[in-house]
Amino acid sequence: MSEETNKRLSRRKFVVLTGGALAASGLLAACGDSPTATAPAPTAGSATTAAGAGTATTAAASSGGVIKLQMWGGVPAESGPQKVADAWNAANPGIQVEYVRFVNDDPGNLKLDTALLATQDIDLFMNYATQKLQKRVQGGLVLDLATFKDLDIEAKVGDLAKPWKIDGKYYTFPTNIAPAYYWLNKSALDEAGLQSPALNWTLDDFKNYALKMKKGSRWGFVPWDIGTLYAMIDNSFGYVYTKPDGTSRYDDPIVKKTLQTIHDMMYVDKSIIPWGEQSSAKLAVDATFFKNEAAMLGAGAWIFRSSNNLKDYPHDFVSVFASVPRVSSDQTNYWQPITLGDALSISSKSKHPQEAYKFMKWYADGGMIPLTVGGRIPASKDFNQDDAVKAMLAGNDKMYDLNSVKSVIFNKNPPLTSTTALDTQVSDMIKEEVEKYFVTPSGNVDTTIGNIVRRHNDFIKTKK
Amino acid sequence: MKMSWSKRQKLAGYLFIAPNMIGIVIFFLIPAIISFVVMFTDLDFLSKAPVNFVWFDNFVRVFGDETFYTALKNTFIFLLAVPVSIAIAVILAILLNNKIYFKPVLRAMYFMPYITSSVAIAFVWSLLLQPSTGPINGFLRSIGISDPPRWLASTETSMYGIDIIMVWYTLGFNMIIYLAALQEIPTDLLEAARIDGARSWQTVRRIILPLISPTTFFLLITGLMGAIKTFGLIQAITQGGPGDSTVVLSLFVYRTAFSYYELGYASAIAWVLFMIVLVITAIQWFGQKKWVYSN
Repeated sequence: MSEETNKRLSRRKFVVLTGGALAASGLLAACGDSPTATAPAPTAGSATTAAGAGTATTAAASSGGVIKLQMWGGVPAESGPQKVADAWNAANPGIQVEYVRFVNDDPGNLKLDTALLATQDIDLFMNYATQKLQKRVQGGLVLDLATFKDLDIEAKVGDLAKPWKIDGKYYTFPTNIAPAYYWLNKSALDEAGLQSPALNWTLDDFKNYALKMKKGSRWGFVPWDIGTLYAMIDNSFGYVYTKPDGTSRYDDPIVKKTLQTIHDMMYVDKSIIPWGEQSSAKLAVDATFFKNEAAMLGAGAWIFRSSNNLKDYPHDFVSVFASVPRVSSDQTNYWQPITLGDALSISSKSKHPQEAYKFMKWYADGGMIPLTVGGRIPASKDFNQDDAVKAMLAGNDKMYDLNSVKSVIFNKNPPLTSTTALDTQVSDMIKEEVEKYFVTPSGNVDTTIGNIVRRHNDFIKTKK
Repeated sequence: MKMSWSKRQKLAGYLFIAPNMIGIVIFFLIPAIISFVVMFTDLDFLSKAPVNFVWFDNFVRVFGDETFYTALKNTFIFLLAVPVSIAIAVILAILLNNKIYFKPVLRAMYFMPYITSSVAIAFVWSLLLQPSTGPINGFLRSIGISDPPRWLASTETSMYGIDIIMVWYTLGFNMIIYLAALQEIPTDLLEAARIDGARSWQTVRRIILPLISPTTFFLLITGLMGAIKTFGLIQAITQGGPGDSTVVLSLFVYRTAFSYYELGYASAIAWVLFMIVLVITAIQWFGQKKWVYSN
């Protein structure tokens, strides 16, 4: 090969490489928060949600300086958010809110993150997991709420807000109380001659209840998802997942006791449907409970959406509520999964942060009440809790054991020493290992725990 | 300015391929180049932290990652579906190429799965494969198998359950391609064989199979490449579960990139996946001389 061709080749190569690099940097820059990024036309989804009441005023006054806010949330518009937006829009002709729904799963959150990165359309958005919020904060997409001097989140919603703090700061306003608890069929309790469980019942009590209430084709217990089956571990740990020396805490005897008890309930007592059957059949969990095919349901407040819907979920029994059982009766700092959810944030790119903040406060102080029928109770101290419970029960008071509703939902927790959630990679890994154990009748709990501890420690090492 | 005839010809040619080329460049080539660069970095989708070039650290991490080996194993079990599907497709195509009743109906039936949404497939098959109440295990029990496999509900059998679904899903496409190939076989060859007294099995083995071997080669190459990239079907059926028993490499890449936002690491895994496809294809390409007939 002559020198000439050599040169030409390398020049051509160079052009290709630079072109690629330019294209790459161009695209990466477009993904970043370049101020020149143009806002694309609203998506089809947003166009449909805009077609609610209030559009007339918007259209009429659009030239007269009406401010438009876009809010993204995970609840379908027809399950409350559209009513919220309509109510606000009617009262505030100068600030019109448009609600856009994203599905709260991985692809849905990715869509939200991409929109936050690439466009300036979004003013307000909901966070449903602290890990997701943390990523958004790291990406500089979220407004630090310290900007608003009159806002004191902990005074408003209490200490339960603390897990939502990122690096010591509030980037989000948790608006609702999202407790997880068990639903029990009162008729099944009576049949088995059992009392409503005490607030401090234990795993062994739970096992006993499930065994006594299973009857014929009715299971003793059905979990909402696999996480429900081992939530007692997290409740016992209270956000502390490592030992003082920095290694995994999952070799704690609490873990073994929990996993083994649940496994026994599946394959020895046969009071819980084996997890593999439930997941592979994609069982409709709430229907299973309301059709009396399971006497207990491990879920939370969101079941009210089905429970208040007597047309699609007809049932004639009274629902009793129970806290998530503790692993042993001597656990004094057992932490009930009463968390705050629906954490509302303002995009750092919002052009109208003051207006967005005004909406945020209004929403948290009761604007969100149309969502309460679906089990969402305002966390704000400025909203009367009895009124919230009343709205949640939607006039079906006789279908619920009122004493247990209040005692379980407003159960008091001991103070937390740590508030940092597990990394998604670790919680996914634990779910995988536990799932392997729960679907295998001959599964070995020590192997499972060994794997969890090893993989958790490996992750801790790679993060360092 | 007046262009010469040959220049205008060239321009017309480029214009014709432009729509396709633009699509390939924007949606395939540029992302591929970006991912090639990104795989040497610790780029995180949302993080504002400066991007560092970590060079081969991502590859060291891939080959030390337990999940990678699980995904690799699962991917190879998944690939078994391809030859099985091809084998069944040959048999069906040969049968359907003969004079049988309801031929068009049967052909349409076999092709149906291929044009069905993977979500619908996932739903129907999870009912069919239900371990305690599903019809498949009901049948197995009725013929005396007291402890049938628990299919998608068990970590040991879930990958094979997905294999069955994949065979069913790709069968129709493979069969249609084979039917086309069978039409191409010159009838004089078959006639000559019959006159020489060849039995049907001999005709199939000595004449039909060698003559359609280029089709088999094509289906094997495209099938393996397609299978190794399969994502939607598995995501819809098991999402990688139970445990990690159906996490294949494509799911692993997806999770790393779009659940954990580790784009650098995900790009590295994607390029390892690409190398695996390349090696498998190369082996077949060089192996074809031994068994693919060409005139």
